[in-house]
Amino acid sequence: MHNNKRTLKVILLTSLLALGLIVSGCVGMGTAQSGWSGVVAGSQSVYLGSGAGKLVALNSDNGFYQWQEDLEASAAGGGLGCAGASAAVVYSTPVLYGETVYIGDGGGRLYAFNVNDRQSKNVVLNTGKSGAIIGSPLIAHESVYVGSTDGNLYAYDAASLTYRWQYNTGGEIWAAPAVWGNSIFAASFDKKLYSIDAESGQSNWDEPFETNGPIIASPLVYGDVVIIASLDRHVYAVDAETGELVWSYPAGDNDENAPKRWLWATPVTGDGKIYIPGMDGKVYVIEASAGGLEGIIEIGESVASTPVFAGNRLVLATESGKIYSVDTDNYQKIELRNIDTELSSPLGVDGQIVFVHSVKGNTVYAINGETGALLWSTSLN
Amino acid sequence: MDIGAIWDIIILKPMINSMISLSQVLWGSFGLTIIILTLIVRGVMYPLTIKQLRASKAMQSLQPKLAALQKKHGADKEKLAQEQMRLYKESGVSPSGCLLPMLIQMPIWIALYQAIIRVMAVNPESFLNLSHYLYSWPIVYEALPLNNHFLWLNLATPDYLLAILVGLSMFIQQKMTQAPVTAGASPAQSQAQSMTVMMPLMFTFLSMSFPSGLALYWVTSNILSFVMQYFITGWGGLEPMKNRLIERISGLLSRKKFNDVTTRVIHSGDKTAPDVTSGEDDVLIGDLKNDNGKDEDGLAADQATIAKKPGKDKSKSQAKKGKRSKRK
Repeated sequence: MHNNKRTLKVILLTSLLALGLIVSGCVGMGTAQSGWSGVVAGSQSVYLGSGAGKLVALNSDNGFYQWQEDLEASAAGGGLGCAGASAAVVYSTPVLYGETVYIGDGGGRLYAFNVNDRQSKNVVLNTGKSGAIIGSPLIAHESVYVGSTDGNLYAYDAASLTYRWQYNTGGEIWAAPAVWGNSIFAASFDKKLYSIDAESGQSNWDEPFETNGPIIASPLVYGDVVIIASLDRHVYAVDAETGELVWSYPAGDNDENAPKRWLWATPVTGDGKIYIPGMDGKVYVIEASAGGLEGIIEIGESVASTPVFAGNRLVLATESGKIYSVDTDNYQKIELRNIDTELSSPLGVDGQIVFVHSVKGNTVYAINGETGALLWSTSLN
Repeated sequence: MDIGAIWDIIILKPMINSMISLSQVLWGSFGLTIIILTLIVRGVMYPLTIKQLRASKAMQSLQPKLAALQKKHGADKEKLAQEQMRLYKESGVSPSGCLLPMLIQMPIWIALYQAIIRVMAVNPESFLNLSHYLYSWPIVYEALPLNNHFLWLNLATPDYLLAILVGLSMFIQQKMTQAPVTAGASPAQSQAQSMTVMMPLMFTFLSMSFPSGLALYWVTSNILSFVMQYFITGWGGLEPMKNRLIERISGLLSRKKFNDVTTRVIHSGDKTAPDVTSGEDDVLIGDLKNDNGKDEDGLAADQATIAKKPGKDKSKSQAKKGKRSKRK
């Protein structure tokens, strides 16, 4: 009897300890993987990668489901499922090219879906090394270019998904590539920007352009320069031809208007200006040709989602779920809506309509970018 | 401001930013950073750890007396509690003496654990989340992302070898904190003994699921713990195991020596070789017989070893002898 009690005590104590460790371990491991795919608009549909690992097509007028396709699950994580990915996770925002939607998943698989008959092709980027696709693919020169966390930029034939070439950078690639003529730009976690020949897969520059921080935001081509926002809290304009620095913001180290936190979201351009959202709750407006500061828009909360232009208004979302519209003439902002869930997915746009995918809330919203009126919302259950 | 935000500001953020800054002077190596920061935190906590270990040692020294009290007043719980309190008072030992320093250290260890998990950022969401903990120091922004490769490890993924090391180091550390088990151990002692096996097993299993960066922290912490423990309390509960190991090793060495000598005598006819049947080498033969355990000498030696082992029931060895004799 006494022995039984003792055994029970030991079992209870051990179970409590194990539970504590599992809870603290799994929760403490951070943040569970859910992805942050944005929405892309087609003629009658919008497409996105859902938190459940599916490519979803919704009617863009009313948000009704049109179809959804499962993306394949990636390899399971550790014994308790606390480490590593265990299901298909989608970070990549789909790209629509003609009648084909391209999307990548957290398991490193690139898909091409025909939106009419839903026939699909897919390819694993690197069978020898695990890697995830975080950034969107780029379609150009009849090829699809996509970066992987295995450090490579891959090129595949856009129609057949047959392999063309790969280029190795020194770090993970999270950013979508950008194109300028025959050059493909890839930004990497190794703090460098690479220019690669679209046909041969060889480097165009003698040396890649180096910053002091990893680059997560996608490069933005503006005329003959490539704009990159780095996690070193600087924005750089680089000559697309030579890879030389044209300007940087802030220019000096002691600029009081320098961003205080990461520049995570991809900058956007409009009216000769570059809008750079920061995680310090400010949007930095830079004059595109010389890099001078035009103004700072105070948002007050961290912005991780890439903003969009709806008409002539800049629409952006804070990490806490507030959607703002900013008048680009006077930098006055109005709060369009508060979704009240975490937002880190890039925003999508079709004319005046802004599409917001809340992965945590498992919902897609269509909002009028000028008035803030909710046009529809669809739960992705 | 909720308690979580206060925790983040006062403890977690300083820990995370110190960790990232430290990594900058350690060639960006996250593995080295984990080891050095664990060393630093251990160093800062040294006075508390020493206090805890000494209190723990004092408690250990009371165990035989406590066991005797348990035996004497086991049926009367009230009387037992009174006597135990009297014993603590007379010996100048406070039962909470080892608990209080441990409680003070606990938040720091939890913060270190959380800091490692956050800085490791095993998935993109965690990396995004890390931004909320960073100071605006340039060194912090330039250091990221940290190099997750250390020795053979990718610190963001589990590693089985390191998981085994976690279990092994934890077993040694746990064993050293216990007094050698004596005959008539109290239920608390027996419970502690079973935990000595259960906990390392559990942590081994957990380490097989968790990123190896966390396992590296556990291994480092355990090794530092048992080194400190050694200087305060000695081998503790590991003493019998250590003795057995030394006996086994010296036995093996002796056997090798014996074989070498015999080989020389037989094959080279070396007249200068020592006489294997006399003096020191008698012991060698004895050892060999003990190892084989097939003759009377070996049996006697077995019994001698059993008698020397603390906590072994003599009646059991007697019964063993009886059984062997019957077989003969």
